Amino acid sequence: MRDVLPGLLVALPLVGAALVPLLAALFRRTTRGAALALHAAIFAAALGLFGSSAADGPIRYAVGGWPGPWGIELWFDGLSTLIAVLVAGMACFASFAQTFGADRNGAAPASTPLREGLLRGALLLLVGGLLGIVATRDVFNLFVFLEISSLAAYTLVASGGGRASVAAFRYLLAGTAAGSLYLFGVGFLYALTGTLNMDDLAARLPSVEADAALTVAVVLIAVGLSIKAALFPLHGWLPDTYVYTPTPAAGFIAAVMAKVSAYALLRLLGEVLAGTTAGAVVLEITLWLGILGVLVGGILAVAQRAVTRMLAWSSISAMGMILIGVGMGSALAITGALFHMAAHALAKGCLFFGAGGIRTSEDGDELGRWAGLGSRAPWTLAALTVAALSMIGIPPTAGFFSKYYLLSASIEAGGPAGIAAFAAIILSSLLATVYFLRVLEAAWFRTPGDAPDAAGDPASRPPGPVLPRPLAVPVVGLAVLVLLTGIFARPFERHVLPDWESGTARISAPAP
Amino acid sequence: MTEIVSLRPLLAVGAGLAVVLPILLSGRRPALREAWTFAAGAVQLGAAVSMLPAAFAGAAHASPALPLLPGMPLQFRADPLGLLFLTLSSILWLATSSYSVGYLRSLGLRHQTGYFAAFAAAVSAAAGVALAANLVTFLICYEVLTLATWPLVVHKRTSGVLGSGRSYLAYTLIAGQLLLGAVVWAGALAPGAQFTPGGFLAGAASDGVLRVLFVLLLIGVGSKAAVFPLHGWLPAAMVAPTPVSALLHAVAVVKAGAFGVLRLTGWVFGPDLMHDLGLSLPLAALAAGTILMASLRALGEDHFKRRLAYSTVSQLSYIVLGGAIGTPLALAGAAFHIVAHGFLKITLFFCAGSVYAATGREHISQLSGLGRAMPFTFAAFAVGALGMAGMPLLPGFISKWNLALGALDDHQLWVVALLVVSGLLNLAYYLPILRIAVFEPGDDRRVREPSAWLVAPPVFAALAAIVVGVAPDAGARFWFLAESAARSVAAHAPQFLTGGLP
Repeated sequence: MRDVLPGLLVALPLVGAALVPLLAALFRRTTRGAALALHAAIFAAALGLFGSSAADGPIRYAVGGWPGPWGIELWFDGLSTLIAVLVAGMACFASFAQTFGADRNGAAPASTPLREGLLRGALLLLVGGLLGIVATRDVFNLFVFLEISSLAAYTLVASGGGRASVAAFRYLLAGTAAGSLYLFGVGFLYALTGTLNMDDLAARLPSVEADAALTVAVVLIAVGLSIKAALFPLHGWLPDTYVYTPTPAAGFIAAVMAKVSAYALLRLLGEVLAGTTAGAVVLEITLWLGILGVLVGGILAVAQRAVTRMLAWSSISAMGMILIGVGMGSALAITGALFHMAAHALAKGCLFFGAGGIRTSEDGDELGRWAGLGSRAPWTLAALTVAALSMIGIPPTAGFFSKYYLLSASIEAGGPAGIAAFAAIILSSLLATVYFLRVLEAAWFRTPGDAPDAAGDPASRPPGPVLPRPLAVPVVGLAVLVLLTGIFARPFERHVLPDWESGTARISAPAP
Repeated sequence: MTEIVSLRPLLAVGAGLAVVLPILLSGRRPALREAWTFAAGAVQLGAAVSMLPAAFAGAAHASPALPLLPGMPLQFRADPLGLLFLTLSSILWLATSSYSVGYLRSLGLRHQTGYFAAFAAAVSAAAGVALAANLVTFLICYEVLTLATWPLVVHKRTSGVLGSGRSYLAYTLIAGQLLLGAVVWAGALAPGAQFTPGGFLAGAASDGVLRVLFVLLLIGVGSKAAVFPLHGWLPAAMVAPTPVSALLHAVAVVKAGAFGVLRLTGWVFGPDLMHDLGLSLPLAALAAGTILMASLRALGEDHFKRRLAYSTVSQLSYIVLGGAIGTPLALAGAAFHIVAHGFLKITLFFCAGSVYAATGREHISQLSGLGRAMPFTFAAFAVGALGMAGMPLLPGFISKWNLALGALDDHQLWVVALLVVSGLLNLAYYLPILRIAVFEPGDDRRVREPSAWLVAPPVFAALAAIVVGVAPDAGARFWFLAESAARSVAAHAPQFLTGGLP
């Protein structure tokens, strides 16, 4: 198992990405089943790796049999397998949601089997890229996967047509800049140390610690990844992208995409470059920017009247939260950051699937459109309520636990940064209370007529369910996960963080 | 105190939660739907009663600890104070449920299924608050309680009502977030943050830090307890249907807040530490101010339920006052006042609701003549009103008497004066209601008592109040529970060993 799964995890989605459009062109009917089966297989592989790394320790896999530091290595410890499980799991839901087809938001062309196959292929490619970022132990290889995932994401975003194309172009500009900065940084590192393997790099960095070029490299890498992770103030691409992306892809992109970049930031700054002075300074700056991002994202989310745009700003706040954890770097903080990645991915995926579907069925995205949905679709709205409560951090949902860990970490850290982080997290919960309870109030307690900004009368509403099944199933499934994750996560926690427990020994294993 | 590991605390807490889904699913069959409620109420009461003998013998049932956060398990433990609150809320839940059935049906209110589901969730959360063994468990139940009562408060769904709901959430959720911060902080200072008689924070941090922590925790629990100046939401929340107000005041939200204050002063900080930090007197002054301010405000209020609401604000600060003084007798009096106020206030609210159901009248000035038309209702009301003022043989007397004695143990003479003044104010705002209802001639001869569903609960609650007032140590032995809770705190507060309980 340990010999096969690592290769499968990265190869399956990449091969599938080519295969599924082909299948779609040749045999129309098999596309959906084939894509779902592929995603399920990838998810199973990720789960297998998580279990295996938890039981028998991290897995090092030399691609093509070439050992590091010359060959490319994949590395599966608790941290990377956890993110892999998250990505692969969310992809299963997204693949299910893709049956939904295009929504009314953009000027998307009518769905044809080939087009559907291509979009399914793009999702698989995106998953492959993200899993590659998660797994690779090579900084240049990470860039390659970053570009693969970005290109697939641009395709998915642009498939909405109309404004989505503009959003995709903007995302492309930001993403390309981010990728280039990262690549420059890697180039500096390679020039300094002559290696691209992370373990090797960490071992050689102390000897070039004094070189100013190292600072440049660290900064370039950090800025590049921060753009992808939507760290304030580099978040400009995010709102439009999340709002205009067609719903099935939006649920996936909003759930995991920025988080994988945050993971890469954690891997590189928190582990590989942790010993350097520049790395420590950059982490400190990340922490402060995270604090700002939490507040700015929350305040701007309150200011929105359109639900999906509000969700997008809330994502910026959440990314700030995760980066606070990354910036602090203590075991508690990293636990909190990882927990928040999981909690936020599940809840935000659920909310984007739901809000996107409602935007289509209700023919609009304003808060007033949500009035009375609670009585029309109680189960769906109950699921969305659970997700929203998790975003606020109400126990016993998953979001409560991540906030608990991050607050504990802030107290443990102390000092101005700790106090600021503590206050920012509490404040952001209050802001989230404001903007999410507004939605829940409209959905459950208002009737379509009396909402302050009611648009259109109920009679003119298009017939049909509030959420079609391809979206309702992911929404309910994710809400159940949101409820269970927090309560039953404690036993898994120590498998994820063996390296951070000791506090100092950041590097998992010496280079061979 | 010996601990018995058992599942009974979980049963008591989970009974209400377990029927939420069945209630929602049986919306089309009202009889079945209400059967679920009563079944859960019976199970909760049964679980509570089954844990009483152990408490009488000085032991406590505790649930197995579910690991939840580092060093902070999810655990429920039926110590005397928790059991006192749990037993009270189980009894009153059953009474309120039967009252709700009559009230909702006679007024033909909509959304009944959601109502009963939220009701069950709220009582379950209140039971969780009662039995929480540590701060995290307490916090979780406390937040669930806030959200579960929101649909109840905004039951009428009009814009104005939703506004009141927002104000309710604004107070309670902001306080909840401060509580979260404080709980995390306390957990970092004292791993586990387990409620310990006499407190667990002594020496855990510098005095300044502990004072800040106390203020955060106090805002967290005090906003639900409607301590001045955090009481603004309570009169606004009177837009809720009357059984909800009854539940909010007697059992769930406000009472949970007052219970939280007692836990905070006796089981988190402890009387000794409170005195050392100089927190007792400010808190007592705050409570005294709340008592007087709310009583005066009640005097000028013509809306029936809002007058009762201000009375609650005033009465619950007796509990805060007892917690602040911290002597054994004061603590026992405060703990007993949870029970006394529960029975009395639920009687009063039931009566107000019956008047509304029978006549649609909401203001005190409109009550003339109703005393003769609705004799049972107003007899029950008289019991509640006199009990609130501290009439002997009713439970309010026992709590106030012991509060006064406890204050004297600490040489706080002014508290006795306060209790006297407040008792007079109570009479001043309750007796006019009776005078108008009984002695002023009515204009409508067709008014009759509403259905038995609406008459039986207030009469039952009034009779129960009389029983508890005459024989506080019979049956569930509420006084014994209150006293042993106070005793356990005093045993760990050496400064207070002299004087007090025999």
